[in-house]
Amino acid sequence: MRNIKISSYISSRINSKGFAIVITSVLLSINGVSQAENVGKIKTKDNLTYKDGRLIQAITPDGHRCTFNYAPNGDFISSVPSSCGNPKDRVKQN
Amino acid sequence: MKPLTRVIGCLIFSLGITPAFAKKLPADNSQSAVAYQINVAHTGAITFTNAFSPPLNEIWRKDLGGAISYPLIAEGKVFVTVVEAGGGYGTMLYALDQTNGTSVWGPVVLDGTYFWANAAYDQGQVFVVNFDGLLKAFDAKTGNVNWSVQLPGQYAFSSAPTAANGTVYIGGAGSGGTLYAVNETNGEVLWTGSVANGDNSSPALSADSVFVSYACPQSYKFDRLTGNQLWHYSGPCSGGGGKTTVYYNGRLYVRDVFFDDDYTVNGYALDAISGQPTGHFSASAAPAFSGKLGFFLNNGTLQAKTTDTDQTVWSFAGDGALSTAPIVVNNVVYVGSTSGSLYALNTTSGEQISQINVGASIPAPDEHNVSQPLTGLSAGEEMIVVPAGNTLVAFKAVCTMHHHIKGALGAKSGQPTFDAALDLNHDDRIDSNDLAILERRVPKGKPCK
Repeated sequence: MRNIKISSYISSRINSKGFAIVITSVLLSINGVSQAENVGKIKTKDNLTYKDGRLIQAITPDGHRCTFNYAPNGDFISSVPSSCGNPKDRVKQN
Repeated sequence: MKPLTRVIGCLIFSLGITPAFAKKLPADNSQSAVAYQINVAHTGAITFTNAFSPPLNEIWRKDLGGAISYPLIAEGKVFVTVVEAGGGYGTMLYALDQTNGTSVWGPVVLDGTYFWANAAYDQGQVFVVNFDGLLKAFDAKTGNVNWSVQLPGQYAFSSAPTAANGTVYIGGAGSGGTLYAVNETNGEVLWTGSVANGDNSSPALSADSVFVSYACPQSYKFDRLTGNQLWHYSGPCSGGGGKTTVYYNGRLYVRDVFFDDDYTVNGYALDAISGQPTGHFSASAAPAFSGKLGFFLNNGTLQAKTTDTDQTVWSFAGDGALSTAPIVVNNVVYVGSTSGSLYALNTTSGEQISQINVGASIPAPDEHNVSQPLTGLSAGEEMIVVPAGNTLVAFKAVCTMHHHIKGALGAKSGQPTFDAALDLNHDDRIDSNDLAILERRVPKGKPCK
């Protein structure tokens, strides 16, 4: 279970007219790390990477990867794993 | 030299102050685990100064709540990246005390997409890169972030970093691929090299060169200092993905999915000077090398082969579920299995020396997905550390502990300063009872050397 704690910081300083200004900030932290620094948003689509305009990999939102291999003339040869199918279908699906 | 200058000079050296102009010598990392497969060439081999052989003694275990990377072992600590529990993206960096597994600093949240980040160590810093290409340098002692840099030009990073002699090397992909050389001092990008793609190939280093390899294979050699491309071996295709190469004795061992129509060969041994194939092999994980032997895991069987004639010396199937890249420690080869066994084998004969059940599956290295960090066995600073499931398990050799305890008992005065993990009978003292326990554990006929 995450350890959530709220920390308050109160500071004061004197302005040019001699009045004290009180500044209060509240930091919400989870496991000691501020929420703003927490991990990135979960993707909903594949992350696609290209080489010479051809799709060479697609990474699913859960981190599994399909890679695509091409002959020197650009013809599609194979995908790894083979269940990943054709790169064109992968792009359409995305 | 003027008298005043002479006095200042004497003061500097008598106080042990290193002048700012003094050149920093390369660190001796020979006893540490600093990268994937222990060292910057990724040979998976290490030779400890003191005797180190099975039987091993478990000294601690720690549940970290997620899949665990290969451990780095340096400065009395064990560093790992771990998938954050709870299912959100990102990983955590842990720095654990070698003696008992307690946290020295962290865990530190490593932002980023997916569940991948991996680390390297050099000269007092731990370098971690996440999937988004955010590279951070942590002070190994304190965990303070010395610098942080977003690597430019790519957006998909899945190659574990390698660091040595003041430079961190990293691969990145997205649009084509890039090999980066980054200054360890300030995060400045020193040079970049264009490659087919930058996935899953932790840069391997020789004294003056850096090697990476990708699908088909597309393999490269660059000058470590200048970044000049020295050769490019281009296989019959190109595509996504890559594998970590191993540099050993003038050869570069590169892998991919199968290269031949019979699906039996997935590796080439390239001549490191010319980049031309000199032999082939099959291995599902990075091979390890020691002396004249290479150790290749293929279809769940570990094989020892001569590096010069490619002759199979022995094979070992264990429980039929061998999974890890092998490592070699003081002439003993270690390999783990998904059923939770850690095997120790004689390098020359393949004879099984010991088998330990670590209590959880020891996973294979995933060199394809980014659903977890790259993982593997590790050895450094006279210990072996095994990621098993979500648990990290640390071992010391009984013989090494025997050596230390005898040394402690032989100390002339004062309480021994050796680590608490050596206190086997848990009475907060290292004494003759501990030595007696160890002597019972050493099998008869196999005395500590």
